[in-house]
Amino acid sequence: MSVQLSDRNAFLAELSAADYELFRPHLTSFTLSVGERLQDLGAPVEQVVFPHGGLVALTMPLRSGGGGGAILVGRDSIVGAMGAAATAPAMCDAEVYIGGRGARMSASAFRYVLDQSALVRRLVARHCAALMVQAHQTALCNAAHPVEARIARWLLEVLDRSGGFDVPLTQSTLALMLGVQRTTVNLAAGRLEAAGVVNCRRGYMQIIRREQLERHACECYRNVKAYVSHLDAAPAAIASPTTPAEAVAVRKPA
Amino acid sequence: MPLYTFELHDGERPVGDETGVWFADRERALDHAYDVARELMNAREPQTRTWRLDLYEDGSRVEQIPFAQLDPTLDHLSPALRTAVERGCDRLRDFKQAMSAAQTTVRESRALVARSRGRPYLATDRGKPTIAAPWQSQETREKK
Repeated sequence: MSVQLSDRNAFLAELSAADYELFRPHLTSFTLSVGERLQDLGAPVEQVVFPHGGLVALTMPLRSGGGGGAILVGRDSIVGAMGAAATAPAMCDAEVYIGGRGARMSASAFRYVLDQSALVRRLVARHCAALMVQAHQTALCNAAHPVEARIARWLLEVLDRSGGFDVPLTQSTLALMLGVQRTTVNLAAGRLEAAGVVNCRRGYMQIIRREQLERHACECYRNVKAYVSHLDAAPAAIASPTTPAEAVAVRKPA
Repeated sequence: MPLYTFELHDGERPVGDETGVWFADRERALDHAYDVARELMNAREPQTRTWRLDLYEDGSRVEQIPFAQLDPTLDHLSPALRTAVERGCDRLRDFKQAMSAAQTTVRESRALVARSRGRPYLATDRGKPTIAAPWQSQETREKK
């Protein structure tokens, strides 16, 4: 079943009609179910997923069973694009944390489309850049910021992707995303609750005052958001140099 | 297997983890509690030095872990000085907790007086009712 034009994630929505036509025959609509694994670390990337809603977390597993260092992908981005484009094994696990709808295509079809359009390649590179900045910021965040600030950051990141004021994540899931014990998340979230910022309920967290949550969050939330806004503001359809001489001129402006 | 729960004392109202974790023995529960304390302290050791984590086994307190004891930024101190700092942190936390309880009582008293006179009063503070329900004990109120 092919997806409708109106039923698209942010990447698909950015495409011109002509570029979307390149994707359309290969896209299949499907349901993202909570707990579904879209890719496993080290395994070949067989599909590229474009979530229309819900939330997918990219995490690194540990041999002991834990893990952490999540990158969040919602309707704003793509799962598996880098691995598929490079014909490389998956760089991390991808698991659905919040269910929704999505579209997927095979990695080989994705590579075929990339070969057809320079603009699509540039858009994919931009989405990959946005994921990379999240990864860099998360690495710094895990090392430098206290657990409450990190919880506040992730809650805001999830809210931005899911909308509303409820975050349908358990504290165990948050603990996995942050790479800490569930007890630590319970106690830190309890402090945020005592400050009147969130309400912790079984299976979800309710945000009472978003502006307070932003004050509790570390600078990483604003940094990633600023980078992505900057990326969105810059036009993607800049004409590519057509000759090697032009390319040199672009690299070294007079 | 006993159920171990945890309570954090940060100088304000205590925060509890009522879900708890099942452990085969107290030693493992204690290791977990130390990990939790370190994670809560990470990247803000000076600010959390006065905190304490209590460990409960099937509802009875079995251990208290002052964060100052685990604080690696105090490792350079002589044992005598470190003990003095740890004792100071305990006193500061108790003082903050007493101040917080007094403020809660004052706020509740003001609200009660205003309500009895039919005047406007602060109904909630940070999402919690200012006037506790009459059937709630002092202990329950503190936990809330």
